[in-house]
Amino acid sequence: MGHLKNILSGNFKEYKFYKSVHFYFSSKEEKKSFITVAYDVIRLSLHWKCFAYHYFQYEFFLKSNHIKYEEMLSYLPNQKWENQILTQSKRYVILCEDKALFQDIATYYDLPMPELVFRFEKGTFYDFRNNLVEKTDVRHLIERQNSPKIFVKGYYGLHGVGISVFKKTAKGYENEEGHQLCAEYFTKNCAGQLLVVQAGIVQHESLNKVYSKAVNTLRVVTRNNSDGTSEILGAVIKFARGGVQVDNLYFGSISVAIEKETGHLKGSGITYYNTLKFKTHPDTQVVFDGIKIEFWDEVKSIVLNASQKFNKIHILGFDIAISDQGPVIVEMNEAPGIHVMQMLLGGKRDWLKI
Amino acid sequence: MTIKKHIKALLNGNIKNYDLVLGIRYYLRAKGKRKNIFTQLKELCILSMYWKIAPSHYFLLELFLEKNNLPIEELKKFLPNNIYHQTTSRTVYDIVCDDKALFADLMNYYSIPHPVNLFKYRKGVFYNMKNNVITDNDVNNIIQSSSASAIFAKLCLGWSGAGLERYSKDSGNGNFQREGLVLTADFIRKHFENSYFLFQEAIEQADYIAQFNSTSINTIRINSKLIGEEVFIFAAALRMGRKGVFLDNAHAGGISVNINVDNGKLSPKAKAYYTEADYYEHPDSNVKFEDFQIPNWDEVINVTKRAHQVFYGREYVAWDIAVSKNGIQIIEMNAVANCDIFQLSTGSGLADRFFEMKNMH
Repeated sequence: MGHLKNILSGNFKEYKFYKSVHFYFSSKEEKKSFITVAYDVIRLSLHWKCFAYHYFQYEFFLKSNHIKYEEMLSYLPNQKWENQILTQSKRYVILCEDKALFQDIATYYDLPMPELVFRFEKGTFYDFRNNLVEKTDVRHLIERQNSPKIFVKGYYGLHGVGISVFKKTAKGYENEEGHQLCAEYFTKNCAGQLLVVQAGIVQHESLNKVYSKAVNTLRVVTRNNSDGTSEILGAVIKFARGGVQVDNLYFGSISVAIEKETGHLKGSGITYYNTLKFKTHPDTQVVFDGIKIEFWDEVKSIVLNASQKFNKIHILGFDIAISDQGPVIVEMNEAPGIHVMQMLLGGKRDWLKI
Repeated sequence: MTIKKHIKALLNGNIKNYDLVLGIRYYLRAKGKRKNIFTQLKELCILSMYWKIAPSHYFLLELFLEKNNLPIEELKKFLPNNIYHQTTSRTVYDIVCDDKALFADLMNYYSIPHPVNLFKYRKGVFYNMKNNVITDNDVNNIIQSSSASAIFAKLCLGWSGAGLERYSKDSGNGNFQREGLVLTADFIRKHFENSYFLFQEAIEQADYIAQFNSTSINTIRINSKLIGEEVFIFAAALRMGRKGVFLDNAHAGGISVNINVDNGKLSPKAKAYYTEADYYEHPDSNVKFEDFQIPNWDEVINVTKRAHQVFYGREYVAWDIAVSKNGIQIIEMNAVANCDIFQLSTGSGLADRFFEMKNMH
C-alpha cells in the first residue's frame, strides 16, 4: 500500500527500477543497441531469477564496456547477495544493527572502538556499562572529553542518517544549529529516542590531507569460513566532499579501491549511481592512486580478529577509521553493500562461493 | 514448522512441544475425581471463546478436577501460555537470550553475577571467553585448573535443559568425567563434533536451597517486564530437581513452588507438570515449603532488576537465578517462557496481574 502511494504521488526516486532506468537514460555516453541491452537483461534476469538491476548499475549497457556475458555472470545482483548472506546470519543481525549493543560486545572483546561518552534511552542516561547516570553527572562526562568532536547516533541508524556532530568550542560542544551538548539538549530534543554519544576520532594526518572535514572510513569486507578461519575479501575507502562531515555514499562521498595486500589506493574514485570518475579529490585535488593507508597491517589484523569474534555472521563489513593512534572500528555491518565493491573491484560472485 | 512436520512429529510420538496433546493425555490418565462431563464441556467452550484459543491450560492446571470447582469467572483468571507468549513474543534481540555464550559475554561485560565460564566450542574450534581461538592444550589446561565440583557442557542454542551434560570431578584423579568419559579437548571434538557448546563451572549452591535437593541446581524463575528504566516483577517460583537428577526443569520432572514476590516466602504447596500429587514438602528430602523465606530475597530482586535494565532489548524476560554460596547468580535469560508454573502451585490465576502489567507503559 505504501509503495503504491509512493508511486502514485510521484515519489519513486528510491526505487531500484527507477534508479536503473534513470541512470540508463541520463548517461551521456554511447550505449549498446536497445536489442542487445534487452537481450542481456533478460538473460541475466533469468539466470539470477530476479530483475538484473545490476546490468545498469555496473554500466554493462555502455558501448565502451566490452564485457562478455560470461564475465557479467561474475557480478552478483544486490538481491542475490543480500538474500544469501542475511539468510545465513539472520539471528545475529541485531549485533550489528544496534550500535549500543555492538559497542558493548566489541568493547568486551577488546576491539578498538571510539570511546562511548554515554547513552540516552528515552529520557534516561546510562554509562558505558549501562549503569544509570544522573542528569547532573552528564555534564561531567562531557567536560571530561578532549576530542574535537562528539557524535550523537541513533541505535539503529543506517547510512549515516540522523548523526549529529558537535564541535568543541570555547563554550563546550555545539552543533551547527548552535545547540550545546548537555543533558537538557537530549531531554528537550530527543525525548523518545535511543542514542549513543561517542567521542570523535582524530583522523590520521595522511587522510586529512585528502579531506579533513570528515572521518574518511575504510570499508573492509570479511568472510567467516566454516572451518573457523576468517579472510578479508576486499576493501575500499570512502572520502566525503564538499564540506560534508559524514563519508556516506548517499551523501555523495567518493569510494576508491584499496589494494588488499599493500594498503595502497588504486585507480580512480567513483560515486553511487554516477558514471563520473575521480582521479583526484575534488576539494583538495589530491591524487588517489598510490596513497598508502597508514597502519594497514594493523587494519588487517584488527578486522580478521574482529571477524573471527563475530563468527556466527558469515559476511561482515567493517567501517574502520584511521586515527592518529591507529585503526578504530566505527561500525560493523551484517549486509555490507556489494555495489561499490563490484564497481571498484570487479565481479565478486566468488565471495559467496557459488 | 510445516503442517507435514507437525503431523510427522505427532505420529512419531514426539509430543513434548504440543501442550494440548500433553494435556489431553494427562486428562485421560488422571485418577482424581473429575467434574461432571457436561460441566467440563461447558467450561472448555466458555474458556475457548473467552481466550479464542484451544484452552490446553484447562488440562495442565487441572481445572477439570472436582477439587478445582471454581466459578467460571475464577477460571477465566487462569492465563493460558499462548496468551502470555503472544504478548511476550519474539524480537530481534532474542539471540542475546538464546545464545548462551553471547549472553555470558554480555553478563561479564556488564559485571552481572554469572557462573564462571571456561571456554566455548564451535564446529571444531575452541574459543576463550573473549572469543579468541585457543589450542587444545589451552583447553586441557583450563579444564585441569578448574576447582569446581563439576563442569557443565551447555548447548548454546538449546533450551529446557536440552543438550546439557554434567562432568563431575573425580576426587581420585582430578578428571572431570561423565559415565567414564573424561572431558578433554580431544574428547570434546569427537563427542560434540559440529555443535556449539559453552563450558561452564557448576556453582556451589547455598545450603538453604540445596536442602530441598542437592543433586540439582534449584533455580528461581522470575518473569519481569521492563518499563522505561523501571522493572516490574510479574511472578517468581523456585524450581527443584528430583533426587539424582541434575536438572530442575518442569519438563525434566522437576517440581516448582511459587514465591511471593514481595517477601520471598514460598507457597505451602509445590506441583510438577502433569502429575496429580500436591507436594507440601520436597518428596525426596521431606523439607517443608510453608513459611520458608528466601533469606536474601532483596538481593535476588535487585540483581534481576539490574540485569533487565542492561538488557533493554527485550520488554519481557524470564530469568533463571541460582543462589550460590557467594551470592546471587543469573544462570540464564529466556525470551520464551511459560506462565503456568506460577499458577500451578498456588491454584489461582494470574490473568489480572498479567493485564495490569501489559498495560504499564
